[in-house]
Amino acid sequence: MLRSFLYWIYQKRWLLVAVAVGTALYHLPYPEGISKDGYRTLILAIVVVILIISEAVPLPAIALFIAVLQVTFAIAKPSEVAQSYMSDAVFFIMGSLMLAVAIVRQGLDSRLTLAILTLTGPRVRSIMWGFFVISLLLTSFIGEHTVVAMLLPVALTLIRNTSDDPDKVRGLTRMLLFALAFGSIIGSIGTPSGGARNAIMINYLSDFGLAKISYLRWMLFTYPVLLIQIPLAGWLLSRAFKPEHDRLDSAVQKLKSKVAEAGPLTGQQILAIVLFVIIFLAWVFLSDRIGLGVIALAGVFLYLAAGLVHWQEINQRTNWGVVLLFAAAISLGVQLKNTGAALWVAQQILALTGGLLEQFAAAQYAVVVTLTTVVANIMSSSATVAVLGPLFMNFGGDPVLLGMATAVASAFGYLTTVGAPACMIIAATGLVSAKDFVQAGWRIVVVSIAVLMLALLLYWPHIR
Amino acid sequence: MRFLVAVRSTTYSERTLQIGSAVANAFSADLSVVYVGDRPKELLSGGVNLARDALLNWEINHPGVDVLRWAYRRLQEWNFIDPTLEQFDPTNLVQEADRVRVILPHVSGEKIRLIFREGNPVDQLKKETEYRDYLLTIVGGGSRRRLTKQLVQFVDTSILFVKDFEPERNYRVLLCVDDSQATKRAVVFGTRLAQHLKTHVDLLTVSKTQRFGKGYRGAAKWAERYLARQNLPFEQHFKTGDPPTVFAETAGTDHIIIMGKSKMNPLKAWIKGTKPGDTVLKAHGPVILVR
Repeated sequence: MLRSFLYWIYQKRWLLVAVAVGTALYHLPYPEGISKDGYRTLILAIVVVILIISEAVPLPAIALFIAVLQVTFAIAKPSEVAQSYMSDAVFFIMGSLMLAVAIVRQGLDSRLTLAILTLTGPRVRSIMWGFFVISLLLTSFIGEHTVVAMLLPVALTLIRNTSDDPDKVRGLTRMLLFALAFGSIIGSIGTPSGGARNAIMINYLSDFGLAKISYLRWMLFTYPVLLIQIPLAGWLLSRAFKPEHDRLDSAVQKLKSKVAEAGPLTGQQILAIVLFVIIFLAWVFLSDRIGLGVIALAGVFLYLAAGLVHWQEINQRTNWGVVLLFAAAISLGVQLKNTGAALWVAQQILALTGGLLEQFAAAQYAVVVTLTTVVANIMSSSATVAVLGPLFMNFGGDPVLLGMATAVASAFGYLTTVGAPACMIIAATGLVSAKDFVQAGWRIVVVSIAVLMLALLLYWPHIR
Repeated sequence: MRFLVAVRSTTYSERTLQIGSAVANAFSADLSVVYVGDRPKELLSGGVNLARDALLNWEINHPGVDVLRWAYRRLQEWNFIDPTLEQFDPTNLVQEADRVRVILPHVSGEKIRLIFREGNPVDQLKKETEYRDYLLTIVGGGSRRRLTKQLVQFVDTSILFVKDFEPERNYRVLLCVDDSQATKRAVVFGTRLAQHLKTHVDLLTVSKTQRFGKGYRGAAKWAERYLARQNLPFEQHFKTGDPPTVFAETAGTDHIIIMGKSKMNPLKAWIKGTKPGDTVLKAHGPVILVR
């Protein structure tokens, strides 16, 4: 009995920590300069961050917990909370998860394989660059998990065609998998549809009355950053691991033969590509009027109506818990702003630095970018933007630039498996370890932060 | 009688599987091989599942299924199962509660089972031992303090820690005897293993002081008589010092240590640790803790 109880404590230790921290903060005297609602929202945010990182309870349960506490803490009225749970960013997250299922099942991976191998030839370093650049360009427009899901089988088949023993091709494996994952992560900053975090930030900037960022305007901000990162990150990645082979002639040949069995593009595949082009054009030209999310949902409708995917597949493969969690996290982010909690925390941090951050924009950017990078590597990119975005936007400088910096820096999750969906996917193959992420990623993190800082100081203020 | 062997990768689990099959042979036990892999973070699991579906279309299995296939082949090579049977089908899987089992249609009875789980290793091994009744759980490692402590405390079967195991070495059996309730079971278990390995047994009783209490002397006497009845060659030793340290030092690298699992108050064990747990951490060879 006692042993079972101890085991329960061991299992639920992070839930107990979260409850203890929340209870202690609730009973402490409220600090000056923050409203009662603001302080309670802050407590809720702290507890939620602990729960998201530790996964002590299922994610949908955290989403329900946020709604319940917002009402019972009298932070907002029930109807207000309900409204804040649904926004265009939530539509976008829902739509992009469903679109991913619809796109991956079209079997377009074979086409991509042929495209990459035709471009690169059998040289290992060329193949690495091929995976890196193609995944990067594709994730600019489609979610990173969609691209990695399509290209991962290609990379693994190439590796297996080279050797059945994973230990004999460890360098090659790591080089190709990290090219795929890091290319996808870098690409995801390029457009609003590249990742949920971008849509969440656009939503915050719009809801807080700070700026309306269109699809093309976002690209104007981020694409130069992305283009500078391509040669730097690619070069660093090519130096991080030493492949066991210089050329993969027979492996490439085997893969090409396998892909050739798929035959020419089918009518269904052509239709799937045409529909995606329509969705993309709608994002570019219509998103500032009807929203990214509505277009993503329209895309899902088109795929369903055309019979390219069945609802059962979408329903089965979409993680609805994640949608619910982001809805709740965005709602919490909005309350952090509305109650003044975000502003108060930012003021406390500014006060701690003795006014240094207020005087130097570079210092503000450096703190926001570094903190976002650290938190994203612990909590994942989108959750970081959803919960901490409103806080970082209050760091004293231009909130639009700080918000954009937060969204972009949240993509620097190269160091851990939880930093980004692409990292988790390649980690789940069992072929790369946590140590490999640090080995492959630390230089790229440094370079990415440096490039973003340069953009923040020299480029973004001129296009603001 | 069922034994459970936990494997994690083809690189690091070979010796665990090898000793697991040998011990199962010694006891004519059925063997279940369980792969426990990392569970993807729930927040990012959608993408992982999508990628896994895509991989299956390219006939690339989950890494856990590949590890189980490797385990199956190894068990065939070591003649634990019929080497002529080719029946591992990576697509023939059945979901049972929170685990997945590979269907092996032509294996008679329960001689071998291949199971696949994801999540925290302690949590999953505990769930597996609760799902089916196992006598012995065989795990690798035994060097990581926290993991070892949790396995000793929460997995409710006997446990074999396959630590620094060398297949070519002729191991002797070191039976640790004290006044605990599990000592008798440990002696019986150790005797049977020694008979199978045709090896010598060292009986060791350690006291913290120069004085050996009545309980210790009685247990040692009982063990001596039992081994004599079984016609096993053995030597008896009485030593003083910190028991886990003396057990580990006496065992060196050429003994399998066998001792009873602690019946200490769980709260005290959780805070202070236990003698068997500390022995596992200090040992330089395999350790079996008998429940």
